[in-house]
Amino acid sequence: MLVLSQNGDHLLPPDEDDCVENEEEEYDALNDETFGGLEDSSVLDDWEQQHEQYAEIAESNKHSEQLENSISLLMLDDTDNDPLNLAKNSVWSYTPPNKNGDIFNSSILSSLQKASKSFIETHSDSNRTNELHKGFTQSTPLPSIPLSPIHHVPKQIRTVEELEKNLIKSSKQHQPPLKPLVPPSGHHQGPPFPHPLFQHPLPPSRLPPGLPPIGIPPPVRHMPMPHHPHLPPGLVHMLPPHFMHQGGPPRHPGLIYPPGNAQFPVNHPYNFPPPPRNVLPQNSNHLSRNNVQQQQRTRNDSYKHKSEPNQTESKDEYAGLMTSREKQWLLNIQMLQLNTGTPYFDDYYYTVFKERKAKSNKENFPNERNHRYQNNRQQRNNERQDNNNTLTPRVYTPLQFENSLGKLQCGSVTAPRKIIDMDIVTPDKDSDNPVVVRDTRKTKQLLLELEALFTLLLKAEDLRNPLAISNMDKLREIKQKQRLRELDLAPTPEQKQEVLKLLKQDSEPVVENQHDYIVRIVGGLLQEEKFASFLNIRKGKMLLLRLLPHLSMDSFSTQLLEIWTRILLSIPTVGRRDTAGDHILPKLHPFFKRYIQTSTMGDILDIVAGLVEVIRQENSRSTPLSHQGKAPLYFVLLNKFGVSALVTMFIRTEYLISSETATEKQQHDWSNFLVSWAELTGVVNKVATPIEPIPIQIFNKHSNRFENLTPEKKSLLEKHVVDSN
Amino acid sequence: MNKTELEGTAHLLDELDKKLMVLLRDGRTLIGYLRSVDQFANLVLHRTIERIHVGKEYGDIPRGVFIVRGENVVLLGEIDADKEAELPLTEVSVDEILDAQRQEQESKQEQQKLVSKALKERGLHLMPDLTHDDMF
Repeated sequence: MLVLSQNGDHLLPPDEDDCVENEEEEYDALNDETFGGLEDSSVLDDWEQQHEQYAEIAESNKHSEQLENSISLLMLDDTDNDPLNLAKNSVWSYTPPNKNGDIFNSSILSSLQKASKSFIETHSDSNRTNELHKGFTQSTPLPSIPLSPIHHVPKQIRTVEELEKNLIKSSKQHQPPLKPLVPPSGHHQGPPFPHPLFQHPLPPSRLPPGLPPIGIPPPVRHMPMPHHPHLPPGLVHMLPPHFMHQGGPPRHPGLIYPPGNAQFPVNHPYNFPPPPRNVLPQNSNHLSRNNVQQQQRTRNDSYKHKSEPNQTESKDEYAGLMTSREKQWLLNIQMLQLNTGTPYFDDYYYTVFKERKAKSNKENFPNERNHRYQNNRQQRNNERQDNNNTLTPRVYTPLQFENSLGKLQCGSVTAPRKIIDMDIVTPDKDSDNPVVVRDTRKTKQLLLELEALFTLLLKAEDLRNPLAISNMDKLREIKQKQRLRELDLAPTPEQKQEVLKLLKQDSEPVVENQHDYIVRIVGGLLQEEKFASFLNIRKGKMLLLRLLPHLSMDSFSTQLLEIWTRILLSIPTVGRRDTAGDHILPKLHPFFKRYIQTSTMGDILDIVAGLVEVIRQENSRSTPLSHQGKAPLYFVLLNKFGVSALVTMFIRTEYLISSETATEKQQHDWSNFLVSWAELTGVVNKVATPIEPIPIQIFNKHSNRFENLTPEKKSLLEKHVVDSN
Repeated sequence: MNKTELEGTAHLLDELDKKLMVLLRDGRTLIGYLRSVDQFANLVLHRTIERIHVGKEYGDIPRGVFIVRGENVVLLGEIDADKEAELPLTEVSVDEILDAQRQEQESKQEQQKLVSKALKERGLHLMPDLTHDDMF
């Protein structure tokens, strides 16, 4: 209780403006509202008297007597194994917790307080100390408990000394065979009561999470120990109830602790840190993982109490600094981030991965025996996910102050504050070789273009992807809701109109055509000078590979012809790099085959026409020396894809001729091509092997059609492309 | 913590109370018990030591409790107790290791001076002072 001066300080200054109503404005700040109803205001000052009153109330409880007895027994009992009479059915014996796990039952709290109070009572002589310690009532809120002893430091020290003297006296009187007690040495002995309070005023906010058993650092724990080596064990360690297991695991000889009812409140002012865990390191890992804080866990685990070095003890003690509430809070933040409603956009890779896995699982186990159960489980999972995803994140708007210049800065997990301004530092630009710069710039430009084409392709593909579609719809929903919210917040009618407009825009489902996208991509790809450069880059080849499935013969026949012609023509520049590293060109073969199987003789001739043209010197500066004077066919033969393409065309031509859809002129042109092919085969040092060789019958049949294909040339051709079996 | 919603995610909560080695952006290596984290991955390290490695030697400087701001962490990893007992490196005193570190830095600087000088002679300019971190 606060000691207040009785001068006019407690009166509020009257409102200066209303002098007339002075008396009404003035009111006593120390009124009943503040301090509760008291019949006699003078009682406020007499804390001792008040304590006495409370103590009387407390005494009427049944427990007190029993506690007193056990406590006195505790005091004087000398047995090592069971100094605290654990075996007996006393208040201190371990009792299982309430089912609801409510550890902070007020009744238990009160009984604890009574226990400590009555213990103090039995061993204190003077009335004064009685009154002092009776102050620990059952009904006052806990934070106030530390206040009184702190406030009365000087008196307390004296009285505690007195107390202990009394203890010694009384113990000597009651039981002669007691161990001799070392007389307390001055202020050192003060500790058990006030010190924990001085050093560690327990913050009230820490109440429920129950930290102190683990959180109070060793100094406090160690402090009482060295100072009270000879005090009766009960005195020092009795007061703070400890969290220990019933069932007497062998205890460390030097430290004797009373078992605590696990439900005793941790924030009791006399709470010392708990006994060292003394568990093996493996156990400690296991414990900390399971969150030491939880009562259930501490009850269920079995401690092994061995004497271990202090290091492990204190390490274990520090375990579990993060309460389960804090952990849950962090997890909730994380889940908030996961809870977007549109995982396909926000967490693309994981979503697609899961989808693919699910698909492959379905394929692998199409008709499982637990099909029914699996379905149920999957449904439940899906439902759960759907439920989670429908929780649209609440928009948090921070406090807004009136008449302030600006708004509060509000960082969140999704939009963190910009903390550091980072710029990319590049070394001096002057020193760089201009040629190098141009090349890298060109490559960068190409890459950017490819990137743009790729995004178009991805968009096109998403139009048919069910996952993407559903996510898109969900996104539209979220946007709509956001617009509605904005509408509510919009202050002026004009702004409302704007928002309405945006809302309308967002609501219209965009109808897009995949075909249009593809056309755009192909157009972007088939640029004259750039096509070969695209193919020189791996990404370009991958784009082509991904694009080809979308190019159906009916809609894209002309473009396909163009593409294939260009590809073959670019082999001189592109083929070598591909053979050395990427090996992507051969992957194009199935698409080429598919195309050729529907092509006409004219198409084939168009394709091969350019291949025999020799690269002239004046063509371009970039033509390397080794390329000059050589036809692209030369390089096509060196390339696996090239040879495979030729083979495919060979087989197709044979078919076309035999089905009589090729004209004389066309056949003539083709035979010329075959001759060139054969000739070059002789020249090329290392002809590549085709992916699929020509069956011998087809080869013979076809080559025999043409007279200009002499036997030598025929044999040349045969060597490399025919199936040797 | 094994909820389906958290599948495919990772969090530092699994690393609590473990002995971890934390590499900071400024190159320091801290070893301590992770006691607490928050949403910014700020770390509370307990019984931390700063370990300086020079060649095959290392030295530990006990530091106590560290609170590391999350943005300064490059990576962290669990320390295997068995492997730590069998380190192929030799522990030396703090003074020795600080000396060694200083020597190493001096020699590195000299090297870089020579390299940049040679490059300048060839018309190229190298900025040796930028650490990896400064580039971003």
